[in-house]
Order: sequence, then structure tokens, then C-alpha cells
Amino acid sequence: MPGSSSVEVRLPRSLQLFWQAPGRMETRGGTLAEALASLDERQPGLTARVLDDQGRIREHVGVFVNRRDVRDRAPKDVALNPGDVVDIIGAVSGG
Amino acid sequence: MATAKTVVLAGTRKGLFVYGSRDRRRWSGSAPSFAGVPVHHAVLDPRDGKTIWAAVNSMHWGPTVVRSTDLGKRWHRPKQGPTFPKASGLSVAKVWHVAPGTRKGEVWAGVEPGGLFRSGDNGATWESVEGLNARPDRTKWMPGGGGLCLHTILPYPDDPDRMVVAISAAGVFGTNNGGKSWRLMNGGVRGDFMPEGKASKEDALGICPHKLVRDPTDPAVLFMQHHGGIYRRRRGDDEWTEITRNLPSRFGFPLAAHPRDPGTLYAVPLEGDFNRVVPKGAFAVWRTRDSGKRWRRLAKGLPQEDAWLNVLREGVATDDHDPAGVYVGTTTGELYASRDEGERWATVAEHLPQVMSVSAGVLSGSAV
Repeated sequence: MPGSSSVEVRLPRSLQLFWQAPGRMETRGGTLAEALASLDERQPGLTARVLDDQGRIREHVGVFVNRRDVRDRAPKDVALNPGDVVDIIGAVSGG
Repeated sequence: MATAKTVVLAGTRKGLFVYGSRDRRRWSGSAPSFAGVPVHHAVLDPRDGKTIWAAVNSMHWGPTVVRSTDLGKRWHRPKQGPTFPKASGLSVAKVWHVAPGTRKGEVWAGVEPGGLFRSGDNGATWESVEGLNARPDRTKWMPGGGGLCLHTILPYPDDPDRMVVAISAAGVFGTNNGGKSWRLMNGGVRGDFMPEGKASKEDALGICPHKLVRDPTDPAVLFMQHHGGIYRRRRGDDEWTEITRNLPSRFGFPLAAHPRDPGTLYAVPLEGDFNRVVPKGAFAVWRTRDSGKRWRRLAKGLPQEDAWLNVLREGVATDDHDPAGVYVGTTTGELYASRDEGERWATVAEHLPQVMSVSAGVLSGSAV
């Protein structure tokens, strides 16, 4: 469990394999955009895996904050508070 | 004495497969890199005979360009791959092609939707070539069946300011000022999707180049597998001339040039755009040695019955040996090699995922 002052970000197996990322990371609160930027410092390139060139959540990526779907919102507008849990998932798609 | 190790890279729908051989008879491979992820193109950088560049396009996690200097054991994943400027409103969907440049540290990437990117620092950062990507006529570029992909990048080996690129289905573009401005090179091309008898004007959009290669002895001589025919463009020509001649069909995707011999090309004609498989279920690579005056069917060692397969635009490659090796990968997951310029073929691998690209190179001594 994350400490009360941190946000837990959980990453799926496919992203762990693709980008050699850990399964979970901790960051501070703020916004989703800020959290991703913070993670990017430790895991370079992670932000670009989740967000497209325009800073939007990629088409086939789902992001949930405390199980609430936020993928249709701009990451800079998604507030994160200490204790929140962010799940980043690969949406159902492929071939 | 051991000879140099030849490496064949097969980019597939489910990862990159690397094969190596010292005699081009016995091939060894290893587990795929980026397993499960489409690799549209990969190439061994001829400048050092060591670096592999790969265009990796995750359905979920997006596109990027990665590099390895140890045959794929470890990959350098950049912080940011090719990325369109915010003002464009565009996002890179896939990287279709990677081309080592002529300057030190220079690498080029062709992307969908129709874009060219340059890195001057070995892929660490990328810049959009706005002279092409932000052309006012961009709104009229139409995607081909595979998407609006920039799939061919041909830098001039002796002039870094010159380059030819191809976008399906906008056309062929050339620059002679380092990418500041580009001119269309679409003249003379006809197509089944165009009114009968009508040839494109040089500066008109809308031809569908599937693959371009250049002549090994003269970088100004170009060859193109178009949606409707194979074409040649000589130095100084202001339009393309069709050289399909005795091929069974105008339609196909890949085109490869011999590493040394002028006018020697390899193509894989298909039934047609209405049925994108090899004719009659019999697989053959066709070769010309005279710039398309005559094409010869090469099929020894390739399946001649019930082979309902296709070869995609990056699916044929040659190596630098003498005699040249030729390699072809299929949509049904076979990889074939010829060590005698296409006369006889042997199976390197089968049951691969759909092969999207094949390239070949010779490892430098220090990389073996």
C-alpha cells in the first residue's frame, strides 16, 4: 500500500514488457499530467507510451483513478490526491 | 577463415526476429525482441555494421524508434520518439520506415499520418521536417489501404541536402535544399484507380507509390513499384516510364535493388489489387537485369502449390555479398533466402507471425 502522502500508479503487464517498466510506481499528488511527468524522470519515455503527441490519453489506453474512468479527460485536469490509486491499462483491442 | 556474419532482420506483426549466418546456408535465430508488438521495419545501420534500428508500433502504447548495438539483446528506448508539433494537431500513429542518414548520428523516420522526421543524435530526439509535413496541400493527401504512410526514405549518399521520399497515396516528393521545400515527382504514372489512359502530371497529387528503390550506381536513377505498375526514372527525366513489361501483373508491394548491378531489381507481382495474393497460388520472385526490359520468374525452392500469400512493401531485401543474397518474407510467416541472386531459395524460418519487413546486412568485425 502506498504511504498516505503518495499516489500509487499500477502498470499492466504489456507495458512492463514493452517498456521494461515496473508493475507499480509511486508518485506525489497534483494532476495526472504532473504524475506522469514525475514517473518519466525515473522511467524515461513512459509518458509518451500513455499520452499521444497532443498530450491526450492514447486511443487504446484506459486510465482509472480509484476505479473511476478518466480517459476522456485531459490529464492536466485530472486531480490526484495522496492515497489515490491510478490504474493504467491496455484497452481491449489488438489482432 | 570465418567469413563475415550476415544478419537478416524480419519485422513481424508480433516482434522482431534476428537471424545470423556465416555461410548463408545455416541460419540461427533467437527469441523475438518486442514480442507481441508489430515491428514495421528494422535495418542494420551500414555505417557501423552494428546498430539495429527498429520501427516499433504498439497497438496500445504507441509508436517509436528503438536501437540496439548487440543484435537485439538490449534496446535503447528513447524518452520521446518522432512527435508532431502541438500546432499541427497531429499524432504519430505508426512509424513505417527507418533510414540511417548520411551525417554522423543522423537517422530518418517515416510515419503515419504522412510525415518525415529527422534525428541528429542517434534517435535520442526527433524533429519534424516541417517543409514536407506542413505543406499546404497536406489536407489533400489521401491514405492508401495501409494508411497515409511515409514508407520510403532515400537520402543521397553524396549530397545530404538531397532526398526522395514516398507517401502512399500522396506521391513521391524530392528535396534539394535539406528538406526546406519539396517538389512532387508524380509525372507519367498511370493507375487502375485512375481514368484509363490518363497519366499523372508531375506536380499532381494522388499516385500510390508502394515502394521506391534507387539504382546502386547512380542515386538519381529511381525505380518504383506503383499501385499499378513498376516504373523507372532516369537522371534528368521529368516523368516516370513504366517497365512492367512481361510481369504477370502490375500490382505488388515490394521492390529491391541489387547491391551493385545497375538495373537489377526484384519484385513480387500479385494477382491484382482485387486479390492480393501471388498468382495461381504459386510463389515467385521476379528479377530484371536490364531495368525492366525483361523480367524472369525465380521460383526454385519456393512453394508452387496452394501458396495464397502476399509479400508486403518492405518484404524483399538484398545483402552486399557477391553473389548477392536475396531475402523474402511472407504474410504467412515464411522467410526465404537465396545466396545466388534469386536462382535458388531455401527456407530460413517458417511459422513466424506475418512478416512486415525484411532487411539484410553484414556485421562489422567488432560486432560479431
